[in-house]
Amino acid sequence: MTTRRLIIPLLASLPLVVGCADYQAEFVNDERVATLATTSPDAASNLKNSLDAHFGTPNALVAWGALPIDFGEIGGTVISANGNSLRVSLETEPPDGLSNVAVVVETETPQNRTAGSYNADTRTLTLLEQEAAPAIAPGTSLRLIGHKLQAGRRLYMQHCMHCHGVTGDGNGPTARYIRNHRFNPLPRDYRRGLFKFTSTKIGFYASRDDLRRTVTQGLAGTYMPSFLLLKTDELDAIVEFIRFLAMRGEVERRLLDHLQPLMPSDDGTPPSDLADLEKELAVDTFNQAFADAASLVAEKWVNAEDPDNRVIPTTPRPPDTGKSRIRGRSLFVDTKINCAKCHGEGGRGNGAVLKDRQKIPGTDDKYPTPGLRDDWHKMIQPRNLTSGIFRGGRRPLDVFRRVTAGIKATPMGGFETNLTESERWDIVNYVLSIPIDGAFIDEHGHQYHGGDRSHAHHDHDKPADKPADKPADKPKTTQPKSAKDKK
Amino acid sequence: MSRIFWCLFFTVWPIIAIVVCAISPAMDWAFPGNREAATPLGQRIDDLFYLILGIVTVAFIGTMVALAYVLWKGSKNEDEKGWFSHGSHNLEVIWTIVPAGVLLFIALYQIDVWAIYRVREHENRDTVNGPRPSHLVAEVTARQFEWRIRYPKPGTKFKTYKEIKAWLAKPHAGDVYAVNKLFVHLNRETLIYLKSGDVQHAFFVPDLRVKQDAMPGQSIDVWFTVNKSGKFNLTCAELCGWGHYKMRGEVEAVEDLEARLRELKALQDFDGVTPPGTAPAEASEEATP
Amino acid sequence: MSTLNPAAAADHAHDDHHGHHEPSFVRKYIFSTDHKMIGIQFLITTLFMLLVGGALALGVRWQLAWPWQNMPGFGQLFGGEGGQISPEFYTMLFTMHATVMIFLVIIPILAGAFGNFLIPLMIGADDMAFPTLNMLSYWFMWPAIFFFGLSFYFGGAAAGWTSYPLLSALPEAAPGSGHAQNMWLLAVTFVGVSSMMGSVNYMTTIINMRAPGMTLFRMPLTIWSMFITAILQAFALPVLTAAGFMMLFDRAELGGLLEGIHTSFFVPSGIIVNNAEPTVGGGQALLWQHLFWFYSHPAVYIMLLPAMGMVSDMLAAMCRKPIFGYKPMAYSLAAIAGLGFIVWGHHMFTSGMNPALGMTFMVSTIMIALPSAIKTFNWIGTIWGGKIRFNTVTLHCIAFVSQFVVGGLSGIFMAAVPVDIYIHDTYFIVAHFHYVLFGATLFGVFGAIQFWFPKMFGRMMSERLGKIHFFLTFVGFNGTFFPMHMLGVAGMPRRYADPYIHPYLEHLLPMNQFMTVCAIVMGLAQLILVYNWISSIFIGEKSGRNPWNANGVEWIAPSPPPHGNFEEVPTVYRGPYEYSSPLVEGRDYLMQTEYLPPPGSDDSEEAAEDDAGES
Repeated sequence: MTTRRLIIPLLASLPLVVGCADYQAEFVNDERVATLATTSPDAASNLKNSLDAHFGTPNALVAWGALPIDFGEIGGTVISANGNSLRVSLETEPPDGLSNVAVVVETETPQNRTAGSYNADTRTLTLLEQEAAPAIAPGTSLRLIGHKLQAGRRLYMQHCMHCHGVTGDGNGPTARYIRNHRFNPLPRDYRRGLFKFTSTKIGFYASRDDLRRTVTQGLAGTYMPSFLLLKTDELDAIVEFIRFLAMRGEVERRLLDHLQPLMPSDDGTPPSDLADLEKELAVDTFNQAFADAASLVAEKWVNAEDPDNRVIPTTPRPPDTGKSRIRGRSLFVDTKINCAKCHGEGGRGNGAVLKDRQKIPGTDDKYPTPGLRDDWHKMIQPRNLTSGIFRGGRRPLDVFRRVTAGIKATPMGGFETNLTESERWDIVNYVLSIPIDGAFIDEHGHQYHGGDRSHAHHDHDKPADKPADKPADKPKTTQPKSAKDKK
Repeated sequence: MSRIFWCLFFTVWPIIAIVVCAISPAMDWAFPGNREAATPLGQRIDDLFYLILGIVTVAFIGTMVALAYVLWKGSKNEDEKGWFSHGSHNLEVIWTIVPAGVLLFIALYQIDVWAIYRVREHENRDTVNGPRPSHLVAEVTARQFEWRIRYPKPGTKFKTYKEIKAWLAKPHAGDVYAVNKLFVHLNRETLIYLKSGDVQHAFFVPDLRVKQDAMPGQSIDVWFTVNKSGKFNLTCAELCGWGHYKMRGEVEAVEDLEARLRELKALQDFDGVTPPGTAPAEASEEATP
Repeated sequence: MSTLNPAAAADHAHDDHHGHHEPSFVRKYIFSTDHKMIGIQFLITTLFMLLVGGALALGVRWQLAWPWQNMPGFGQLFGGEGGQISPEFYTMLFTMHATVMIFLVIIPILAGAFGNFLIPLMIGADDMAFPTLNMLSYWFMWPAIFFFGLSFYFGGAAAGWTSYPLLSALPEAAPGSGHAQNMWLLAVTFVGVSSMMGSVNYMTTIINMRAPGMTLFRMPLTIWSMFITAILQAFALPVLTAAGFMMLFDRAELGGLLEGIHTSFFVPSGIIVNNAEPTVGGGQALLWQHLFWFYSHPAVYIMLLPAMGMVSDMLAAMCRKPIFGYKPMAYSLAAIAGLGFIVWGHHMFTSGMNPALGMTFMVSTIMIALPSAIKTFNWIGTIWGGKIRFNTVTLHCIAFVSQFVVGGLSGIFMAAVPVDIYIHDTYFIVAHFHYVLFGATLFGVFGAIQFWFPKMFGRMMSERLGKIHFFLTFVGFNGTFFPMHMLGVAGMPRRYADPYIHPYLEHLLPMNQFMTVCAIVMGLAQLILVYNWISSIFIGEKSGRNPWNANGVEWIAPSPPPHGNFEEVPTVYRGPYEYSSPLVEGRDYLMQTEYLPPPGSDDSEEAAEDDAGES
């Protein structure tokens, strides 16, 4: 029948469609690599290859020991071996599959192998075939490295990639749409190692705890939602993978700085002594530069973990009294630090500075339009403090840290040197009171609406907010509600 | 031959369908975790569900058996002609009145639960009943793509709905903030107010059989009593944008809620020096100007 | 009800035939005013759109079965980074799937394709009342298709086919809520215009153009259902169109065209979406839901009633039996339509409308199951005692009945408010409306395609391919959609790009994979239909005028009928379902137009005349 003739080719063509080659995810290189390739393709491919060798590709990550990353290491010993299939005893059971994890076998000359699979029931680890690999004797100890990074990558692709991109360049598929809106912060581009909300001092990177906090709490008022309900090990894995991406990106960036002389000039002409420069920068000194960049980056991330580099107040937060708020308010509008310049007299994030054109960092030029920008050239708004949204967290400690160390990569600087600690605490008290009582306060520290002062009759030394678990001095808990709360 | 095949076909598939339904609780394809609802009203909803399921199953089996019967009969019909019949008035009357009765019964039988669930208490607001003192009040603001939660200062007891409305209207000193994780009373009534920070969302806790849309510009009250301790998944059930599926939250029912809120409050008041949970500095610095 | 004077009508028809000359190619096949050509144009367009909508659905199914996995072959096409479907692409997929299926497939294939083709033929008219309007109704589909295409170009609307504000009202709210949403709204408006032209035409035609003797209660149920559908459309559609314009005015961008308007019907004030400026307004998002469902609930019946009518006709013809309870069938159609206007609130039980309304809507919604039940019993009654021909048409009709039973019964769960609280917006509702719209309507349509194909092209479709197609579609359909009931009861919300990040849904992944495999089978099976349809036009067996020995007026016309349909104006003597009538010997059909002398009379002359006019 005619019909049958047509169905068979139809069915036969099906596997063709299904079998089309899969698109493999790849790390996207910095734009400057493409620029570099116009003058010196060798240097560009050299750079790419080195990065691939040390960091791998998304589906075959490399655990490079020079980086301060917890790749997830499990020690163990071989109990019996049968070719590539080893019965092993591991110190800890791996959380999930071990395929593609690096295996370091401590034979006489240590071997680098790759795990194919691991069967938790029979405790059998199967290694991938490797040419001329010496046999492994029972009793040999081995280390499995990288399961955490792989888990991180898997979770990252599920939860984070849509905005932050496969490479962590803040350019995932959804980022295109977030970027369209004027003041929406972009998904973080990890490649500079800059994260806005940290607990560290000025000039230091983010600690693991900071990243963890951002992931779990989200950044209120932005598109970064809270991932509070991830399990602890999932969270750790994601954080490690984010740090991995950040380090990869920054090493790449620093190497590009190293190769900067090879770049074409603005009109596209290659440098005159290209061949010499190429030999010097891309061949002779390249490996050294790579190692230097990596160690520099590693050092920064290690330093970020150092408790000495955290912003930790030495004195506790003073009580939130009217007086403290008044001091905070006067500092807020004071010319010394002049919060109001950006945040506005009323704390609405509409300060005078928004009318000025800002300088482009690293150049003498100014941006074509007025407004504040972050280091990624994205327009940002000073926080509207009346909104009650605190992106970096609403704990007094968080606000204290913002005032002390600023917000990284933004015009919000830190005032550690300009202000004493108690002054900073006063600002904290004031800022935390703005969403509740408004930015304009009278001499008693109470909200001030022009002429209306009818309610400003309180004892101005009374703490404005008594924590509930601390019985107040006066027997006031029996009263229905302080007048203040009803305001 | 082909007739028998097709008659079998239309006889067998309803049987498969019923078998699949019958095994689904065993396969964990029924209510989440195969558990009964964790609210008394949810249990009544489950009962209604099973009631309808029973009626529907009878109707399904009835129609499918009838269909299979007439098919088998019709496939074997060796007469020259079919049965010349324009219908039967009596049958029409029967199969109008019987289903009508059953359907009306279903409709009326549901009303009570709905009335308790949403209507009665709502109508009584600010007239007869004040809020019960055991009420927990919380404000849940859904936004793209998370749940922002605000509790009143631990220990607050609202006396009237007016007070609650005033509290909802603006932030207050001592409010406790949280995200994605809502603590509620165990065995006592919880009253939450649903808001939306941006687009429409829906507060859906499958285990509690609670679902309510959060409409932009409205503050909608939802109340329920959880009578099983534990953690329950909270999801969004109304399309709210590309990250709709990301709105994973949790509702936890706890015995001593106020203690839990005080813990949260202590964490929120953490100033980096005084360990959270111990007395925050208060009187010590009062002397300094 | 009076009908035209036979003599006058005959004269009129005769006049019409006078001025006839062979129309040009363009007039005949493209800008044709012939209802049959327009019907076939609708059919081709909608069948093509069916494939488009099906492909979109397969994208959705892929993501649900293998979330964030590269789609084989199409990974790059369906563009997120790393070969994954991106979540906003997923929201676009299901939005456009529903949109295409509802507005470009189901509604136009029923009213547009079959309504156009069948109404004049079945009532014995030579064409529609307003042929030019009819042509326009087809060509107004094309701006709609164009704008839906533009919507794809701008990334695709992604606020769900229900387009609830604020997601759809604020361009900032979602990736698809920019221009794509404007285009979507414009397209829906054009679909509305097209449907409205059609429904005006159908109403007029059915009321005014019936052949002599074709009283209302001699009309086939197909015509009844088309008539009622046209009324539904005429009354419900303006509301949707108005709502669409309100939304457009709220959005007020359209390249600055509507800059000055910027209303806020649906947008409350003080909403900050995606860090844009707070909205200024005072509107109410709930209003859209009321307006939208005031149209879209009746629209559900617009998407179902014509299929019910056609299945009634086909079942009677294939079982060689009069339809069981003709009048109850007609009345229940009307009852469904009438009740259909007062049940829209059942889509909004959890929306925050006044909860007391929930009770009213619950009672009316549950009661709408009654006429549906009556129809089901009557279909079974029609098969009862019949002499069934097990051909493709019959299979599709039986599938229609049995799937409609499932869809109808699961509807009772949704109608009961307390139970609906739990299953609202879960996969249970997805199962429910697919059982009604695919399981019932599309099976009915597939049957109708097979049944009236000989009248359209003068050839038969292949029975064998038809049966293979039916088998695969039925099995694939049930494999895909029946498990959705379980997913819904397990609490899986719909429209989730990745449900499995929620721990209580993790174990449902294997089931979803099974469903996707079934969906792929079902999708591929439609290629058989396409092939069968196209090849049968050229190589199908010649059919003659009345291949099914059916009774309807359309079967006395030549296949395919010429311009003007009938050689002579047919006169109708009886209802359309006189199968197996004892009045005639040696055959089990008795056509509507066949004159039988009253028993005992010897008026043989007239009878002979009528026989000649038949074939």
